Formats: sequence, C-alpha cells, structure tokens
Amino acid sequence: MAAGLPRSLLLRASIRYLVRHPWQLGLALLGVAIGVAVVVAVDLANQSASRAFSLSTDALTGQTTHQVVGGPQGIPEAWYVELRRDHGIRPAAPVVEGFVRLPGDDRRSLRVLGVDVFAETGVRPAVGAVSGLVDAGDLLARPGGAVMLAEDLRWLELEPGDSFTVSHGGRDHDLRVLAGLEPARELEAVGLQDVIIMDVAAAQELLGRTGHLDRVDLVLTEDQVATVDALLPPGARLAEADQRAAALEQMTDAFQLNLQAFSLLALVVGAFLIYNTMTFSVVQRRQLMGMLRATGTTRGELFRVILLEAAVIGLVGTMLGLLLGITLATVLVDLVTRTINDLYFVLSVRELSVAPESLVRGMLLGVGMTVVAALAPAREATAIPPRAALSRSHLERGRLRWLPGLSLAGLVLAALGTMLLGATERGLLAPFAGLFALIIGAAFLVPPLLWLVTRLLTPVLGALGGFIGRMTARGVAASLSRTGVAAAALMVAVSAVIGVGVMVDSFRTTFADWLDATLHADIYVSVPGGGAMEPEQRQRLEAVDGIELVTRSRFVRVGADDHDARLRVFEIPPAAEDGFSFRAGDPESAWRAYREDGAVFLTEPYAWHRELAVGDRVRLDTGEGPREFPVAAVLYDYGTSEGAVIMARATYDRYWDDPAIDSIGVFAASGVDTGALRERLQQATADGQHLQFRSSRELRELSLEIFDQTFTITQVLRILAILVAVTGVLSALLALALERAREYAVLRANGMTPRELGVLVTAQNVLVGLLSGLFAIPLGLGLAAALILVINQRSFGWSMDLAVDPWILAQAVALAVAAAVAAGLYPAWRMARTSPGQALREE
Amino acid sequence: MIDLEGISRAFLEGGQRRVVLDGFSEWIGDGERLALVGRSGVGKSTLLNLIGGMDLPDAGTIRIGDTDLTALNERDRTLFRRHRIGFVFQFFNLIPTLTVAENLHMPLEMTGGLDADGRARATGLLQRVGLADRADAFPDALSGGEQQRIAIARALVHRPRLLLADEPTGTLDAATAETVLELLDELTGDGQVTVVLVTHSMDVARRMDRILHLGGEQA
Ligand SMILES: Nc1ncnc2c1ncn2[C@@H]1O[C@H](COP(=O)(O)OP(=O)(O)OP(=O)(O)O)[C@@H](O)[C@H]1O
Ligand SMILES: [Mg+2]
Repeated sequence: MAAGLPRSLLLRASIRYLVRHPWQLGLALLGVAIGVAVVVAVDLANQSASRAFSLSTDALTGQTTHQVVGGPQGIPEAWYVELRRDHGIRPAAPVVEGFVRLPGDDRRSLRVLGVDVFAETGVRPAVGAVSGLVDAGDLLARPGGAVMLAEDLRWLELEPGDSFTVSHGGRDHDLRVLAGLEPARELEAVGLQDVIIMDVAAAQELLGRTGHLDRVDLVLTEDQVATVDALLPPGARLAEADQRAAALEQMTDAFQLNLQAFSLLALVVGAFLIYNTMTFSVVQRRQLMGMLRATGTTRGELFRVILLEAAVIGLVGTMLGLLLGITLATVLVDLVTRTINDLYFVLSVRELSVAPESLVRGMLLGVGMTVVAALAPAREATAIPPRAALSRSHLERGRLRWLPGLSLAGLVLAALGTMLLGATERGLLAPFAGLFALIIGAAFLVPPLLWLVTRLLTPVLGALGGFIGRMTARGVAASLSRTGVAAAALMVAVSAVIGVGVMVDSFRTTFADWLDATLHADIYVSVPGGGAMEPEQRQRLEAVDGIELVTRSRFVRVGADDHDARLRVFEIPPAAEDGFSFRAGDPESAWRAYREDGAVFLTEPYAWHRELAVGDRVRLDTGEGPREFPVAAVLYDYGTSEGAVIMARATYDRYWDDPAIDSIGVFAASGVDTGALRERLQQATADGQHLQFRSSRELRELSLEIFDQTFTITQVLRILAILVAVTGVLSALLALALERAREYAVLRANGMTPRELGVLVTAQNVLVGLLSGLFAIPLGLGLAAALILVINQRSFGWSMDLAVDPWILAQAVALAVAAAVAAGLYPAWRMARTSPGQALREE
Repeated sequence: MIDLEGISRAFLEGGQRRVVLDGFSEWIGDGERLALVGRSGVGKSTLLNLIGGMDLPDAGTIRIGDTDLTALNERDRTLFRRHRIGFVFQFFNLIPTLTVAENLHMPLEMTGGLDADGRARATGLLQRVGLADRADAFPDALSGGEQQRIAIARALVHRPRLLLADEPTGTLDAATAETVLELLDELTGDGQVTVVLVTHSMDVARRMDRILHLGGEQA
C-alpha cells in the first residue's frame, strides 16, 4: 500500500491526541460554543421578536388589504356607517384601538381592540369568532365586556364572569370578562396575546373616543380603492395594510442588524480560538507528523486529517453552542423586546420561538468558521518535512518571515476598512464591512507589533528583572505564533469592550446633556400611561398660585406620505423657548418661521430617516386634507429613534380640530418653592382624572433609567465579549505554557525554583495581556468613533459626541491583564507540582 | 561524596505499583567519575533524577556532601541543584529562545555569578568547546554534537561539584560522540567534579573511573 499508515490509524492517533489534551480541547470547544451561542441567541431573539410582530400583525389585520387611518381627530362613526350602507363597501370593520395598563404593572400594556364583532367576518376571522362565543347584548352591557385569549385569562387568573380593572388616561375602568377565546390555529393565539377584544362602543368609552373610530379596516378590490379614496374624511388617509406594518417593522431593522453584527464579532474571536488550537496541535505533533511523512503518509492525507479534526471540534462545539444559544436566547429575547418597546412600539413576546433556520445558520457558521480557521494549520502540517526530529524554534523562525507580509496585509485591511466606513452616505452594509476589515486588519498587526515592542523591551526588562526579565521578553517574541494569536484575540475582544463601552457612555452623556438642556420646566404634569388631560383638570392646574408660565404639549400621530409620523405640538411662551437644541437652521429665523409662518421643526432622526433638511417641506394629512409644511430647523432629540415632527400649537389649531393637551410643563414663579407648588398642584387635581407629577430631576433620572434598560442588551453582549476574550487568551496562553513544559523543565533542572518559574510564566502573560490591552485602546477608540459617527448615526439617526472616560480604558486594560494572568495560573500550578524529571520524560 | 542509602522508588501506573528501585545503596567518592549502565527501563534515569533532587525517593536518604537532599523542601533542593549540580541530557538541553552565549550565561545569572569573571569563564569555555564563533546563534542553528558541547559547557560553567549526564552521546554518531566525550574528559579530568554518567555504551563507560551495573551484572 502506498500510504504509510492506514487512514483509520491516523484518525485514531489524532483523536487520542485531542483526548490527551483535555484543557486544550475543552477551551477550543468552549470557544466555538460561545461564538455560536452568541450568534444563535441574537438571531433567535431577533427572529422571535419579528415573528411575534408579524403574528400579531397577521392576527390584527387578518384579510385586511387597506386601512382608512384617522388623524388625531379620528374618523366620525357616521362616515363608516355611510361607507358601508350607502356605498356598499364591505367587508369593512371599524376599529378603536388603544393601550391600557393593569394596576400595579407599569411595564405591561394590554392592547384594547374595539370592534364590531359582526363586521369582523371576512376581515379578522379569529376575532370574528367572538360573535359565536358571546351574546350581542352582553357585549353592549355595562361594565364593558371583554374577551381575551383563554391563555391570557389563566395568566391573569380571571374567569368568565369576573370583573377586573384597567387604567387608561388617568382613569380606572372596570371590565367584565365575557369569554375566553381559543383560536383554532395556534399562530392566531400567539398574535392575539395581550389583546382585549371589546365592542366598539365600550372601547370608545374606555378610551375616551366617543363617536369616533381610529381606523376602518377594509378588504378592497382594485376598483374600490379609488372610490374610498374619494370619500376620505378630513385628516384620514387610505393606506395599504401590508405596507403600514412593514414600515413599522422596518424601524427595528437597524437595531437588529447592530445586534447581529456584534454577535458575528463573537464568532470571529471564536475562530481565533480554533486557529490557535489547531496550530497548537499541529506544532505539538510535528515529530509525529514528520515521522508519518517519513513512513509515506501523503501531504493530502495529513491535510484532510487535520481538517477532519477541526470539523469534528467545530461540530461538537457548535452543538454545545446551539444548546447554550437557546438558553441565552431566552434571556436576550426579553432584553430585545424591552429595547423595542422602549425605542419603537409595543410588542409582546411571551416565548422564544426556536426557528430551525436560525439553528442551521448557526451550525453552518460554526462548522464553516472552524474549518476555515483550520486551513492554515492544516497547510502547515503538510509543510512539515518527512523527518523525525524538528525543533520548535525552527518553525518559529520560519514564521518571522511572515511578519512583513502580515504587517502589510494588516495596514491595507485597516486602511480599506477606514475607507469603507466613510465611503457611503447611507446604509449599514458598507460601514459594517469596513468595521470588520478594520478589526481584522488590526488583528493582523498585533504579531508584528508584539515582536517589535518585546524586542525593544528586552534590554529594559533585562535591566529591571535580570535573567527572568530578559527571558520574559524573549519568550513572548520567540513564541510569536502562540503569543501573537493570543494577543490578537485578546486585543479584538478588549477593543470591542472598549468600543461598545465608550459608545454607550458617550451616548449616555449626550443624552443626559440633552435632557439637561431640554427639561427646563420645574414640574411636568401628564396622564399616567399617556393620553389627553381632561380640560377641568387642566384649568384647575393652571389656576394654582405661584406659576410663572406653563408650556402645553400634545403628542399625536398623523399621516405623512406613506407612514404615520409622530407629531409633537408645543405651546411654548417665548420666555421658555430655549429648551430646543438646534442641529441645523438658524435658531432666530427658525423660531420666527415656526411661530409666524407655520413652519415645523424636525427631530434629527426624523430628518435622517426621511432624508429631509432645512428648507424642505413635509407633507402631513391635516384635518383639512394634505398640507405641506416648511422645515425651519432640525433639532437634536434623543427621545425616539423614529423621530418626530414638531409644530407650534397655533399652526396645529389652524389645521386640526383637536384642542386636547397631553402634558403641561410648569415653571414656578421666582421665589416660589417648587416642592410646595407641586403639592398645591396635586391638591388642586386630587379629585377626578389621575395625573402624574414629575420634577425635571425625576424626569431626568427616569429617562436615564429607561436608557440604561434599553442598553442592557448591549451590556450583556459586552459581558459575552469579555467571556470570549478570556476563553481565547486562556486557551492560547495555556497552549503556550504546556508546549513549553520541556523548556521549563530544563530551567528547573538547572536550578530555577517553582516560584521563579511561576514568576516567569506570569510575567510573560502579564506582558502579553498588558500589550494586548494597550493595543486595544486605539482600536477600541476607533471602533467607538465608527459606532458613534457612522453606525449609530445611520441606524438611529442620532448624532452624539465622543466622550472618552479614561476609566473605561483602564478597566479594559486591567481586564486584559487579569485574563492573561488567570491563564498563567494553571500552568504555574502544574509546573510547581510536577517534578522536572517527570516533565523531561514526557513527549 | 554521594551517599545513597536504601533508596526505593516505585511508580503508580494505572493503579499498579511498579517498583523501580528497591532499597538501593551506593557510595560515590568526591571527584569520582562513575558510569551507570544497565538495560533499558532498569531505573538509570530515575536514579539520576533522584541524585539531582528532581525527584524524591519513597524511602531512603540521599546525601551529597553534608546535605541530606531528602530532608530539604522543594525550594531548597532546587537552590542546592542550582549551585552545586550541572545537568546534561540526551535531548532538549538548550533553551531555544536564548542564544548560545545566553544559554551559557544562564547558570551564572541564576547563581549571581555573571560578573566579569563569570563572563570570561563562559567565553573561555566557549573557546574550549570550539564554538566561540557561534556565541550569538540560536541553538537550532547548531548541529546535535555542537548543541551537546554547549550543554556540557553550560553544565560546568558555574563550577558545580557534581555533573549528572543522562546519555549525553545517545543520539550522536561515533565521531561526534568522541569529540563530546573528549571534551567531558578534559573538563572534568582535574578531579574537581564528581561525575555520574548514564550510558548504554561500554566504550563510553570504560572512560570513567568506575562502572556501576544497575539491575545486576550483565555482559
Ligand atoms: N513517571 C513514571 N510513571 C510510571 N513509570 C515510570 C515513571 N518514570 C519511570 N517509570 C518507569 O520506571 C522504569 C525505569 O525508568 P527509567 O527512565 O529510570 O529507565 P532507564 O533505566 O533510564 O531506561 P533507558 O535506558 O531506556 O533510558 C521504567 O520501567 C519506566 O517505565
Ligand atoms: Mg533513561
């Protein structure tokens, strides 16, 4: 037979090798597993959120093709009756919709869906099923009859016949459970989670919309579209149902893409681990491989065995990663949902849906990455000459020849990445590609830098630490293939920690500064859960003594081209005008245009997403039909990533018939104690509608609290990055120490004490950790800048200032050093325990 | 002198006790050069490691001069070895990350003897082993014989009282082995150093003052 050893023997040898190095094997598996877990968990969390969204849209829109969406004033009920009766447009289903809360639960909102159950047939079959469950009379009786999913009722510990209280618009309302709904299809059940189905009339009463509908859902033929369009009541628009849902979901795309990119980074670091393990195993077995080659094993056979080994590690690691990922996803899905709720829209995701395609994707990525990472070591194995004795430093010296090429590739990649970051105007693909190129380029630069710096440091460390000092620097440079990979992996992970840390911190600082600049009133009064303040309460409030002036706000949604825009209407006395920070537009002329010419301001995200600038015009569906408003300024605003249009009250009143006010900012007269004023305000409004009072400080703190919650997911990902970093460096430095066991044994034989050896191993690791940490600072700051100036700006439309807290940098360097030191503990301990005679006999 | 008294050493191998040395005693005089021979697996390396304080016996005492090695803790044993013993192995003698000269300086540095005197001595030794021109080379650039010559120089550079060598010529061809042995003779012939040398070759063994057959007499 041509080949020296049968393939099965080759395989058996390699399996035994791996089993004999359990630490190495374990860390490689862990590396793959964590990388895959992060990717899969983020993917699953994203998918679950998207699925929950689409199921809920499916259940709530049903067969609907078009929706007549009312503006702030809503759609007069009579219009609907006419449409249905006189124009014969059906199926047509009226909807009154709003959110209510359960007392004592601030986080969870329930969606009230007020419908005419008999009009639902042919529109929303799942909801239409209610007509078969309850009496028409019951639906109309008082208190308001409610139908919910049987599952939700169990969750709330309610049974048909029970009464329960919900709050809306500062009032408590009693509802009565009529029946539990058990949709035939499970998917519908998921879509109707947290939904209270009521009759239109009862919902109108509950939501304070008497005589009005929020929208009318229609199933239209082509011809009918024009008919309905011609009949639209003022302020309403006709929208395609799919498009509306898509526009809504699109808002979260950027956020989800960000999460995905971050998770891929974890996988890249995982790939370093594989590369490291496989290189290690090849270098360790060079004797064996030389011998195999000598006995006639072909290069191809060796290559395949190494790749096969990698594939097995990849597969097992990936399996572990999938399990870990599913577990992790249950945590992440909550965090993702929370962020979506805080930043975008109300979404209830009660369970994780484990999409097979996410698992398959994770699997392909995990195994694929592993095999790719093993290509270089496998090639290296084939380059081993067919000879028995080879020295390790021979291999190392060979690798030094790579340094110039590696440096060049690193510089080119980093430059390319930087270019890509700024190459496009919009879109995230190019900047993310640039970010990855930058990171990988920087990683390539680590070995050459490490080599250079340790060479320069050798005399310094020699002077400081004598023999051990010199050995330290030498050791790092001499095992560059190992220390270089460890340092690169550590550097990448730590720079991600720095980048994300600085980004969040900058964002928080910017946000806090903006809050300070914006929250100028002493006391803010609003309705818990949002909604209009009742006029009597408002009059009582404003009549209280000690008020210098008030600002009044109204928050509504109006049609704008193809989407529903947030419209913020402010009535601000000139004395309180300084609460806006202008990003574009001259404040003085902008204010004038805003007050006198009906111009609007846009918040920065709105201007970004809609590609609008000062001087452009925004088209809004007003109560008098579509009107265009000139844009006078773009404002910094971090309240919503969706963005908003800001309009003067006078302008609003000219086009809409909606006198409601949602919140009031109270400025205390000079010399008036705000605490006392707040008490008087509270007393004046103690009866009737509940109102909430917040000082600007409380509001600021609350906002920051929400901010922190929103970024919990980022923090979790940051911790995962740390985990990957620690695993990576642990694996690489452990490999190094084990590989050098013999060299250390010679030192021991020559009279180096275990403690001295421990110092040597630790000093080497500290050096690697410290240098990686220091190298990570420039990359981390670069990443932060890229995230802040490009990625976040494009994802969310927010511009922020780069604020570098040295503490974050110090922490990151400390983390790198700690991880490296931890990696030295086991080898040092092992060294101290094994007798050098023992170590010398081991091959 | 080296006084070995009732030394036993056994290894646990997969739950089985494997006795290698069982109550072994021997006396080696100061400046004596002893060849240790015996069939493979009889415990030569084990014994050498015990004498070098790299391993401890299960029973018995090892006395070198006035020092009872078995009574010392790990650290003190190591320090004893550092100052008093030089080692030469069959393979893996040199630290690959240090140059030839640095390898040679290593014992001096560890014993605090890297002063002008020490350096001169190292340079002298390098000349005597005929490798003065390779001082700045890394070990892997040297041939096996050259490496072994450096190893012997290194084992003696700090003037140890005892040189332990485990098959120093085991992997070398006859001619190279000869140069290495001549070097060994030359450097230890003055009776200042006690030598224990493990070898499989009777030719090598006969160059020593005395031959000790471990595990019984065998031709
Ligand atoms: N750590 C150990 N664990 C188990 N068995 C050991 C260990 N060290 C030595 N042995 C066993 O002790 C016996 C003696 O080993 P040693 O290395 O001293 O032999 P040796 O005489 O030097 O042989 P060789 O001439 O082949 O080098 C052998 O049978 C060996 O297998
Ligand atoms: Mg032996």
